[in-house]
Amino acid sequence: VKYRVGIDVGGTFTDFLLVRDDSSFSTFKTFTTTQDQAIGIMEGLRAFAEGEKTDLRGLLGRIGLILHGTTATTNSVLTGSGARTGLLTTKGFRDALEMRRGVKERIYDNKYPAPPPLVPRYRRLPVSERLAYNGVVVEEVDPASVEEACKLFRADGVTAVAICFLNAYGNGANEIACKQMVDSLLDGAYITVSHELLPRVGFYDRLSTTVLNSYTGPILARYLASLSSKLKESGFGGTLLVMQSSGGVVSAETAVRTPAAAVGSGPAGGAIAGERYAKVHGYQKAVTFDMGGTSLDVARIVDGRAATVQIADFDRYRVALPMVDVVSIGAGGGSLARVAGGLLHVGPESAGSQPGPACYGRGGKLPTVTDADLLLGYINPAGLLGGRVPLDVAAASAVLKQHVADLLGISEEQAAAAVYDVISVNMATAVKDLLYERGDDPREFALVVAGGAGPLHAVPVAAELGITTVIIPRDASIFTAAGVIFADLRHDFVQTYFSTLDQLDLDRLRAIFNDLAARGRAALAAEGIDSGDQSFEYSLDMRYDRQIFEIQVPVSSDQIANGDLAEIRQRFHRLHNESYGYDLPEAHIELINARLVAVGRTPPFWFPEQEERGRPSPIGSRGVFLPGSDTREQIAIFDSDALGRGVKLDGPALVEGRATSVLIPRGWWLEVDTYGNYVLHPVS
Amino acid sequence: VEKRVSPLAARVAIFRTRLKSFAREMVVGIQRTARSPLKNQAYDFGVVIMDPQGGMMEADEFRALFPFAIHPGCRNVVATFGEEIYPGDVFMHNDVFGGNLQPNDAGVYVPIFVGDELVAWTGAKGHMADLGGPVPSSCNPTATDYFQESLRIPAVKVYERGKLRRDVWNLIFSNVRLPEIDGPDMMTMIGACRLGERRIGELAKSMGVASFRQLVAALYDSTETMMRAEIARIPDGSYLGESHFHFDGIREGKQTIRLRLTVSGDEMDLDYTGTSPQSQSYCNAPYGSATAGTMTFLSMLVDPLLPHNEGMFRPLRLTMPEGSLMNPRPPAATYYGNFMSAVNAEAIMQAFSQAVPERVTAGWTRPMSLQVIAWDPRRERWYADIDFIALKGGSGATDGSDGWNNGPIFGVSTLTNDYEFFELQDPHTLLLHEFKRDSSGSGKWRGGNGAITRWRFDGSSATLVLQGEPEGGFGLFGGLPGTENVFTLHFPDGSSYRPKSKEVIRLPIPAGTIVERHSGGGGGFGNPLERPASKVAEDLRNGLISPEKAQNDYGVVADPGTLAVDAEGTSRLRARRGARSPAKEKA
Repeated sequence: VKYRVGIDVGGTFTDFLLVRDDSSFSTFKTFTTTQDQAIGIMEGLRAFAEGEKTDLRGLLGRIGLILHGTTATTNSVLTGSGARTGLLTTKGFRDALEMRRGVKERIYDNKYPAPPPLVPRYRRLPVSERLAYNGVVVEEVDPASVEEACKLFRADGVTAVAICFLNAYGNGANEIACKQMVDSLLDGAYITVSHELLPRVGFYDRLSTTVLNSYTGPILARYLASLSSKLKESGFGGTLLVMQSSGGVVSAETAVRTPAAAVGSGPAGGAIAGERYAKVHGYQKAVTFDMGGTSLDVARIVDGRAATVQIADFDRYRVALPMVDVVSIGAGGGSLARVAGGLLHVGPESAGSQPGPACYGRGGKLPTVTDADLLLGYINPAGLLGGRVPLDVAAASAVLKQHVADLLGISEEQAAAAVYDVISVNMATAVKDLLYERGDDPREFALVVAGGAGPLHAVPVAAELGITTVIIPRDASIFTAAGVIFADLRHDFVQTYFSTLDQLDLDRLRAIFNDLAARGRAALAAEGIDSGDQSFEYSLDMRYDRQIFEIQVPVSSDQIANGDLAEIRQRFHRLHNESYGYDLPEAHIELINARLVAVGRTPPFWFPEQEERGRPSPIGSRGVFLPGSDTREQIAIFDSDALGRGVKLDGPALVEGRATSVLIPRGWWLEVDTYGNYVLHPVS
Repeated sequence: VEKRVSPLAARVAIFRTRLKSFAREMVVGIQRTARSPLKNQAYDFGVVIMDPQGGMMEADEFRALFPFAIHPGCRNVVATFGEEIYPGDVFMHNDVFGGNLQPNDAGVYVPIFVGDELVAWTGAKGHMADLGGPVPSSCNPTATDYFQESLRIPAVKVYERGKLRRDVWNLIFSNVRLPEIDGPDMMTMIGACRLGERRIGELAKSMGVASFRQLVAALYDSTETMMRAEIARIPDGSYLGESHFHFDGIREGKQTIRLRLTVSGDEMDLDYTGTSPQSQSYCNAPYGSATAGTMTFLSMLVDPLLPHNEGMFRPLRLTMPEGSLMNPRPPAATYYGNFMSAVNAEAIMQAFSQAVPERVTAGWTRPMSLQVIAWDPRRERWYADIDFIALKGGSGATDGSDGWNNGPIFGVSTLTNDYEFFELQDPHTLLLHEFKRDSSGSGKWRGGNGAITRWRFDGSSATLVLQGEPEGGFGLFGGLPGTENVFTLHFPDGSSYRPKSKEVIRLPIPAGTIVERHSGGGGGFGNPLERPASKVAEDLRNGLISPEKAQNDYGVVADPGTLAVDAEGTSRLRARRGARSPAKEKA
């Protein structure tokens, strides 16, 4: 009898979701320990075991699989606390990392500084070597330049090295020669070699990704070693899998080799969860709406899957590894409201968790969205988390009066309502901008809501977007941990093969795909996945001659085996037309990359069906300013525990639970689905 | 959310967010559907929403200059057509003597009606692949009047009441070289404007025309309030800023852009009287380009969150004297005008530096751009490319921040080609692209470093067109200037050639020629002796400055071998030189 546990380490809380083999489940929440996240996890597991009427050893003995979303790599980049890294690159190009292809993100901001490079210039050292554009070795590695660099690295305490040579994506000979030298010269250094990590054309993308990998490698290695040994000591004999930015999980051993693939580990869990909740309700297209204290994360689900992008900028650092397509904006419960030039602004600045909203009474002196929600009556004044966090309505009212109401000559309640309206439109705009950018129409999407503040703000946002289905998981607070449990094993491979489609050497393409598939099979086999649970997705990155962006075209293994290029060509034209509104039937098509995703299915899990509990009656009522109304009115409050499957409630009403409260505005109704989740629609 | 009569401050904020989102949607539509790489890759276009009079209401601002350069053309359309503007009309325009910024940037305008009331306009403008004239691409550095540049399109109606006017359309597209690219691109911009028309029309209709107008007025008023508050922070006074360039493509000689800035209370007067008369070459900034440049750089000197609309202009008075470099009369050639915004920027920074020293930047490297048209023997075809790798330079330092190393130059933030694609696409081999040591202007805050780019030409039959300015960035408040842009061709026979800053290079360029460009450095800000020695040590260690420069400019003594800073020697030297500025000492 083996259990599975999903563990998601967030900024404030570490969430646990334990699934038993009969699909029953338990959840648990503990504070994150920032120094070593493993400590918090072990403490959490210990406390969790108590609730399960056993001890840590007893619990871990029953757990066969731990799936883990971690921010260890994320935080090391955000705080600049990664490994002391050295870069070896082709002579003449050591500044490409810092130049970032010349992009300045804010054109009008004179004082906006460039991000500090992860490796300072004196540790970015030239190697005399050169490959031509076609991969031919023009100059072999000059050992003296590598020796000299390693001497400096040793003297400077470098523990991680990135090796990235120009045009090495198709021929790793020089990089391998260099790596062997570094291996022998720099004992125990963590080394990343660009053509092994990302054999893809595009020097800056590959360089930045390779550097980030070495920068975070020792950090993730240390963390996972600490966690593994603690788990082992306490009786864990199962498998530890780590969530990747792509939305798939991999073994801890693989994760340590490609830490750059885990910088988006956190939001990825949310995207996978969104994918499953949307699917259960028959939606192929959805956006997640995860509104926490400081930020709102929005991820896209299309064709029933969390959409991924192949290139993303993480904290202004380029990572060219698959990442779920998620945007984050500064909008959350802690977003600050202020009046400037006679206009009301809300966010992106935030009161964060310290000092937090004024109503928390921890020193917050400025009005936030949470203060507005409280004054409008959306939040129970008795306090959050069943009264564990008491709330000060008078403080909320006072700061709204001082910083908004008095400046605009309106009442505190009007000020609160204005704050609520502004943040709603800001958030709706963020969702809209992401979807438009990708050519999607929001009206075809469902909104999957998570985070503490999400369920109080979701409906006005949906209304602004023309969205007519809002799905709120019963326990929205363990949303991301659930996503980790749902995730499959996934390995992404890419190999550049630059050719026009007309001159394509099919045998070479087949050989590339065979090689990628063999590596995928080996990786999955090492993780104990039987061939029956393995599947492979093939695609080609293609573009018209002289374009600079590529389109990823899914292909089948049969098409490759049969050499069915006509069909692939047609598909590219069609996808180009769908994405960009035109195609050029006469133009030459270029192939850039071959891609393969190897997927290993993990045992499926979905929440058990809920029972019916009959018609609920309200547990009370409260005076509330509903969205769109300027008078306070009494509305019914329901206890979430009393809502069984199939219950329907008409707005206006509030549903209050331990961690999640849902606002049903007038004109909307709520239904409890088979699994106890809330689904809201407008009254038609 | 609509029903509640929320306080005006919230309604205006929400209104503006919606307008911004409409503009974004229009931009995305153009990016996704345009054919020309100038639009779908280099994103060389802009989108603006305007009021019935052609006043600027909102813009999408991913690229400098365009946001402030679309509404003047709309005013020209309104002035030309007056009462003859109907629902379903579409106007086209590229007239630099009617508000446009560059002859190659053609705009379209769509009026938005609710019933028969004109409530707003949408406009889009982009750099066209070709708009006729004697030279393919319509960029002609030898032009001496606009007839030698491209087709001049005054305000014309291409659709009337929803119906395409074939006569007008065909007249235009019979006179351009790439109608198969430019025609659909124009349609794309019209499509985007019509999308905006639909969105804004729906919004105005749902809230009522009166409310819509009230919100527009309130948006302008609140922006005006913010702008006035920003100006009020600037000390009253009269400040002079001047900048120069020294070669107009035909003649050597100093040309001046002169700005007299007068601040009084919460109003500001920007007067360019005293600027040199218009040139005989293509170095002229038409009114649209000149004002767009001025507004762009002004936006860098006020709160970056200030909305950009008519309200921002109200406390300003802008005088661009007719017949000058900054507002030439017909038949001036004007293609180079947008490049001149970098020169204008310097006059603005010089003037404001006397009033609000903490907000300005020292000088940025001026732009210098190379176009290559040549034969590719690998692929057996002609190709044309712009050398984006070299279109960068050091930016100027500012109080509290060093300049960006080899970053964007004023008003231009193009993406550099990736090295590997550069070698795959064109018969070019990149040899070097690295920061240039000692190129930055020294200062308490130092300017950005320039870079050296060197690549080998492996093709044949090349024509190279160089356009730009040699100057690096000037220093401010004791900061020193950065180094210059230098462009050199090294031929396989060992000889080399240094062209003028604006030149169509007609020499034979054999395969194996090495193209070398040193981009200039940004200017420093403040006395270099006040730069913390630890920061100088960091630049030394990173090889960005030499021990000689550390000593001469910064008074920091370092061991030339180990680069270790001698703390005692440094304080002694700095104490000795403390009273004198390094600039004087140099002289």
